[in-house]
Amino acid sequence: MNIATSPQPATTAAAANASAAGSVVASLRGVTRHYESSAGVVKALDGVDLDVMGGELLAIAGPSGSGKSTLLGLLGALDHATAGTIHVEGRELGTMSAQESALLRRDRIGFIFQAYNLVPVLTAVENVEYVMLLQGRDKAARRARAVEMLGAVGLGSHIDRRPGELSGGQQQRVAVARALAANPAIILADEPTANLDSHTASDLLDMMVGLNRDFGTTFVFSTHDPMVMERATRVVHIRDGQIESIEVRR
Amino acid sequence: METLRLAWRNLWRNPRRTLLTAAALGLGVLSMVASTDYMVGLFGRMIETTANGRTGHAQIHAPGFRETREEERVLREPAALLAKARALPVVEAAAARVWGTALLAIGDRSRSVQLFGIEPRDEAQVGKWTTRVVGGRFLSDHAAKDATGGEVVLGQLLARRLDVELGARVVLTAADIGTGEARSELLRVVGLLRTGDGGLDDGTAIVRREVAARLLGVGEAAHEIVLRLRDAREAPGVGVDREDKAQIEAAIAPLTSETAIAEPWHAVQPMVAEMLRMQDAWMGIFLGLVFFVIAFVIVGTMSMALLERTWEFGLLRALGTPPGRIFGLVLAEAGWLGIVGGTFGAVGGHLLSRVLEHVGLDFGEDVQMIVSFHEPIRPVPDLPLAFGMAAIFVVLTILVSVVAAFRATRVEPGLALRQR
Repeated sequence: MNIATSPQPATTAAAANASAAGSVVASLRGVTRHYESSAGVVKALDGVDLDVMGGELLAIAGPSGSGKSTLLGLLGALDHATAGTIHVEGRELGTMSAQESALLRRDRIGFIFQAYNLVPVLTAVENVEYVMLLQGRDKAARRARAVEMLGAVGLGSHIDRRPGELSGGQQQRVAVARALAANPAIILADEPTANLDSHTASDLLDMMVGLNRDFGTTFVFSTHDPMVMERATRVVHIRDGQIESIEVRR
Repeated sequence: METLRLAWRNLWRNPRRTLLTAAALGLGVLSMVASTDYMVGLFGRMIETTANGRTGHAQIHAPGFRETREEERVLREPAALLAKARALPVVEAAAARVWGTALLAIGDRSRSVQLFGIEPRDEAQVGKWTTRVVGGRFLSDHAAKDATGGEVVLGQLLARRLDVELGARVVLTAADIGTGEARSELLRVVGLLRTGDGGLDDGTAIVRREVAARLLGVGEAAHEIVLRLRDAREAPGVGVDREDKAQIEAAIAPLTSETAIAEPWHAVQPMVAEMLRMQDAWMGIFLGLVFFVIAFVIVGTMSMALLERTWEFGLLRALGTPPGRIFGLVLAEAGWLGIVGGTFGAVGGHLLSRVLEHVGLDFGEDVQMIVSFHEPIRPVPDLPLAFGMAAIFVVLTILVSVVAAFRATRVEPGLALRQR
């Protein structure tokens, strides 16, 4: 499968995201993920059907071990479903090679992790530039975009600091900037506020809501944080690997 | 933020581990550089000791003489051969010798000896016999006989065995190669020689060439012509690598004819040549062992570093980094490690060689490796060679990291990120 890899300018991407608003960006049909363990087969996900709509701020909520991180991993092409099909922008992940999956993640999916997961030896601006570097953007363009995104997350004066020199909240802001910089179709945020104090978490979430509104970027959170659910446009409650309920917030 | 820059930064994430690994690698390179420089110096010294003794860098004999040592196999026109040899640019000096066996007698004591008839002035040009006198003096250069009928220099050990002292008169008796008639000369012992070569020190009598010629009845003929050759390092374009048999053979080929065979020292002293060859082989084994040990250190370090950073490779994969780029990143880190350690080793080894070159390693004459060393062994520092070895280590470091790099590309991003 051939995947489009050419980077898009920010304005074009924002326009593209806006035009994708309301359409299905990703879909899961009958998705099952089973793991083998010493205790037997663990059903992390069991027959999940879900559509992710463009421009929405979707929260996958549930207790620990409910399968929300597994769902995000499958949606992000970081893992493979045991059964069922997953499509992102119309492309089925199950038929992709490792190389094609890597290109999809690089160009169309942004990640924000609970543990920030910045490259420790790179500065904030270099971390944000990294995906664009992989995309082959020229140095001046990616630097300008990275500085712009760091400014958007309120870290314009910290661009040359390495992760070790930033607080947890600041690192997570850099991670948000990194996820946004390459104009992905969807940003997957795995419990992004779990390691932050409530004040920092609230600020970060407000910022992401703003980015969702301004750029039309689709966010999918896995969370059990009420602050995330309050800001979500839709909340999918998941328990024991199955969708329990779907709640439309706004 | 290109791969090399990222790799360089990654290298210094754990400075202590990097420095320890680089130091181990550097010590390996250092030991190789210093050993190689030392061995080059040792080989050079062995060759020079051999050459400075009785062998020279090459010799000319009549066909069959070297193999049989039959005294009637002589060079009939040594003067012409000497002139021809001296006309070759590669020849620094040449000297003719008469050789035979003789009986040395003093009082009721006698012993069979090797008789060398030499031209003192010429001999001083090709070797260092004249400087190995430990008692008295070497043969005088003038041709006239003194009142006793001539001079002889004896090996120190021989003199001790026969209880001969400086100034004593001895009789040398040899058979005329033409008639078989015994001829004798009464000679005064003017000097005692200690070369470190047991054969020479225990059984040699050195006289002027005309004395030996009279004893053996060879007239103007000689048994061998010894050549000293110019070194390529000192005389570029003219000299030869005096360790290189083929180069010497090619350089002296014009001196070979139907009546004379010119051969390099390798043929005259096959034991020394064989030992040098074995030393070369031993050096190869040593270098291989050093490589092997260092390879284990590198593999261990790289594996440990990669294990600690599994989540990071998962992250890079999650962000869309292609496997080839991760592979290149790990190899680049290995390359940097090799460059840091290799540079330290090359510079350190070179400096060590420089110091030892200045100081010299004096083993004295008691330590023998077929030849004994009269002068300190001085390593021959060779900076380009040192960096060449470092480059080999860099390549080796990269090669042994290929498996680790491959493993890094196989990291499952989902699993790896969960490990953090």
